[in-house]
Amino acid sequence: MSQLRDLVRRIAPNTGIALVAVVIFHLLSVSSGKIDVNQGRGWDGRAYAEMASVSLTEGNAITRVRPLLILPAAALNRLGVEIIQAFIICNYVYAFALALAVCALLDLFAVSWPAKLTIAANVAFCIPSAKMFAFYPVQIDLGVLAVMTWTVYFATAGRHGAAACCAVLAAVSREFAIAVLVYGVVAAWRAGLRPWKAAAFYLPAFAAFAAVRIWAVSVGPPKDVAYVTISSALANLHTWQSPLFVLMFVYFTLTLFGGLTMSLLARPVWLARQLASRWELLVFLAPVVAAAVAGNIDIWRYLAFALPVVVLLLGPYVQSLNESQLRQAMIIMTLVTLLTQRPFEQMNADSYFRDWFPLYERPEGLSAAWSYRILATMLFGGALAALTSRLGGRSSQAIE
Amino acid sequence: MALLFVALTALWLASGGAPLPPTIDARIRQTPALTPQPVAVGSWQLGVSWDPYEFGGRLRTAEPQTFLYPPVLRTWASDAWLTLVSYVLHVWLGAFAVYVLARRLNVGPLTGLMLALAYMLATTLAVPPARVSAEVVFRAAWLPLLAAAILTTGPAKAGHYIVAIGVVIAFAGSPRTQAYGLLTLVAAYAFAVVWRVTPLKGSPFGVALLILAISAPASFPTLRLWRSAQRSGGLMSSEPFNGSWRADSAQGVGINPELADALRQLRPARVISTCADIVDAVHLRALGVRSVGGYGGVYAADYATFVNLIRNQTPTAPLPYVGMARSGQPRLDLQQFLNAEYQVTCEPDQGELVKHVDEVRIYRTPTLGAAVWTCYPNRVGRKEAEYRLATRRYDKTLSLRNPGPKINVRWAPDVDDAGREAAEMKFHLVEDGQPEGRTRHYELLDPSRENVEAMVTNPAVEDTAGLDRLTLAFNTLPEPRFDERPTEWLIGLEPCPELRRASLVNQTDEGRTIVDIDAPTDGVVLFSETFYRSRTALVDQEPASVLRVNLAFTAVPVPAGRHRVQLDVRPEPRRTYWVVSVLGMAVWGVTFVTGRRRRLSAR
Repeated sequence: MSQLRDLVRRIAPNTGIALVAVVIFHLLSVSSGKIDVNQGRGWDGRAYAEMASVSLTEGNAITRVRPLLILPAAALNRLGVEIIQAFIICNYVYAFALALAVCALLDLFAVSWPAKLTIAANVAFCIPSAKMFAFYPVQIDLGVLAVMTWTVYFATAGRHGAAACCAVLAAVSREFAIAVLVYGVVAAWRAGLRPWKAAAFYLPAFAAFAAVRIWAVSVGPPKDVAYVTISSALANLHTWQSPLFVLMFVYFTLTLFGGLTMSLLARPVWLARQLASRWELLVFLAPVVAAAVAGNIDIWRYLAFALPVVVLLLGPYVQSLNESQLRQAMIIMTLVTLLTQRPFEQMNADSYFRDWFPLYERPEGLSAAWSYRILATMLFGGALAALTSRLGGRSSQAIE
Repeated sequence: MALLFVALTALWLASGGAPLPPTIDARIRQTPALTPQPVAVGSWQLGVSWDPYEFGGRLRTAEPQTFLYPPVLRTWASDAWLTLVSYVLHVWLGAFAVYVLARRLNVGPLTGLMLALAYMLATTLAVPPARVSAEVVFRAAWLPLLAAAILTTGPAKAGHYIVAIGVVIAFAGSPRTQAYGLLTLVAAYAFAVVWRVTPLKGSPFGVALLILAISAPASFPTLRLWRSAQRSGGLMSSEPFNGSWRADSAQGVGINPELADALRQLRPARVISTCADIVDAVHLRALGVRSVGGYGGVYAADYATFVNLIRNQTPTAPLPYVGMARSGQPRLDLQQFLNAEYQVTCEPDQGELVKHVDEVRIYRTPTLGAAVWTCYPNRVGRKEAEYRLATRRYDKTLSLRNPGPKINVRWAPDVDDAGREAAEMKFHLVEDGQPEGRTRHYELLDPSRENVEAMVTNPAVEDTAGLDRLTLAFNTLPEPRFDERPTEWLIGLEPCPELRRASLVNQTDEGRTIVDIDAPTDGVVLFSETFYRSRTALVDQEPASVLRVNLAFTAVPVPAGRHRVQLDVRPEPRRTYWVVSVLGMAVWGVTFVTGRRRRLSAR
């Protein structure tokens, strides 16, 4: 009985925080509206909807390698739930699971519940981790983020068996799982396991990663979507010749998760030390950043998968602050998130491109509003840097 | 910082357009492509030049009363300046609140200023000009002030003030603003509790009053919007009518994309419909360009008022808040939509495809020029007015006449399109509806016996329906009887011997129209203007009554003879807002002074 009470006491705060995140996701869902392109299925969502409502062999060669998180929507659809509604329901579950995973990761650093709540709420306000799916529900990425974050949690916590199981799920969820698999191996090795043993844990996940690709190609034609090849990725590197692309890449990197990423990036020296001392995080980041660098103009859609690393860095970030500093940092962090992510803004197909993928809409030049957004980001960055320079002086010992 | 913001705002206005009322009239008058041209109207030639900025084609802002600014302010400053001042003040207040919040958190003054300036840049300036609305500006000031109020008060005392401020928000905001405000309150309170924010010395009550005071003039107009949105089933949402929101939504409900574009660019639709419930721009579907000129109607710009008139059939119904027009070059290629007919559906759910267009009835009212003299209207009931406007047509003298009979013609198999079109022209057949194989539906504009005889004996015509080929009599439906209270004025129910154009003396964007008329007998001057309950009229400088005719138009009775008629809009002064605002400021001032005295005496 006392064990059960302990368990409830342990999980209750995180569950409460995750429920808050779900409420925020619901508010975002209500206020953002829904995409109306292709009867609400969107672009790549069309393929997901086809896979969920007809067969996993439908879709195209790219979407077929991501079958796992289509299955729950397909199951709901079989039970009579309309396909878009099925994805919406799944997204609520994924939002809950993601928030729980974020809390679990932060627990590894003994982060207090107010800080956990603030960080989880910030994640729930951000475009790549919530608003995108509130507006464009026929997607699987929210679920993928949850699976990847749980995998990272288990790997970081030293629970390699659970991590290996989650890694298999991640491997059949989305190609970015490769980051988790490599991270898992390195984390296990850094935790003291022999390299072959660490690799053995994740061998089934690697096998699943390869198998699902072979299956995806073998079950049907690639349809209308071209494979991403090394040559096409290299060709995409030409986008870096455009100063506008570079500017947008920097902007979306800074504001990826609003105040969360800006707070971290405002302490570059501290961040560099963290990454140097925990280089498994760099191992995770490498494929994600590489995909964003060579992934044409989708930038933040790929960078979004760096979320587990952002949370892993926020843990020590919070640890490095005393209570009054933390209060200051958390409130300003939230302010920056709200202003850069504009979570409650009503969206439509126009604003989707104009605000989230501006280079699709106007590759030759951005509207004047972007000048102010970039200026505001610079000022926020400056203010956070000024704040954290004070923090750095006062809390250098705590950081170490 | 405020000065800096003024400079930035000026840059912004210069760079991408501003949410200011444009002087579209002037632009249109200067546009060579819009010079008058003779055009055909239905079955008869108008024979006069069509001046597009007169009936229906005149683009203009909505009723001045619907603007945010109180009339007293509009007497000494233009809308453009008031917008700029309001804009700067609101955003400056928001930035000030951010600065106060930052200082409250022991952030240094320079960093606080950076945050405040970043706030200014990230809120309204970062919103594309086309999407800036009063609500966006309003939120920029409100939300940080609310957060500052709660965090300054501390969690222990904030509960009472949350209730007080929440009540104000609940009553004073539009739905979206309410949601934002209440969320901010709750979030700020949660922050205060979670992070154990200690109360700041001072008077939180004063803070609450300050918020109330500064927001009252801006928030009360949104109350109208909120009520209007409630009436329209949420379709008006909380966005002021600036064309963009509605047009975007229109595309979402399957509206003709060109019409949606037209609504976005020009808001030119001239539609009178009387759906039982509501009409919104999203319910319009262009049928195509057919009749030009002669048919008046309400502008889409005025549609909110029109909705109100349709829904609230009492002159005392409140006007909706419409907001301000957006700038932008008129799209000449979309001028055709000025002349399109529209099908109107009745209240589909937002986001659903427009369906059941067969339920639509379209009423057209000719308003030739800025104003015309015509005979005195007749009193009829609402249903009868709708029926007459739906089933009859106006002729040159603004008399309602029955339309030509409806017949079906089955063309011979060997008749090609050119032959059919020649026959249609010869027999005055105007196609009505979609063809079914060789059979087409027509309105016969010339029902004379000679014409009908020639038609039925023509070898191209294989068969006809709706017409007795032996007696050449048409199938007719019995006229319905209406047993209802006469509440409407209807022009042309009884034939009028003539119609006389008024000479336009002056017309302004503020809703003033002055015309000279030489009335042959007692009658009315019918204006091509939507009726507002705030309309006033002067006939030869003497106050005159204003009638709402043909469901949504404005007419002023005049006796026989030469007269100068002036039509105006005289919005009611919004005393309430200013009373609340001034009282709030006064109480805040008193609280501040007494608090200071108390502190001084305590020392």
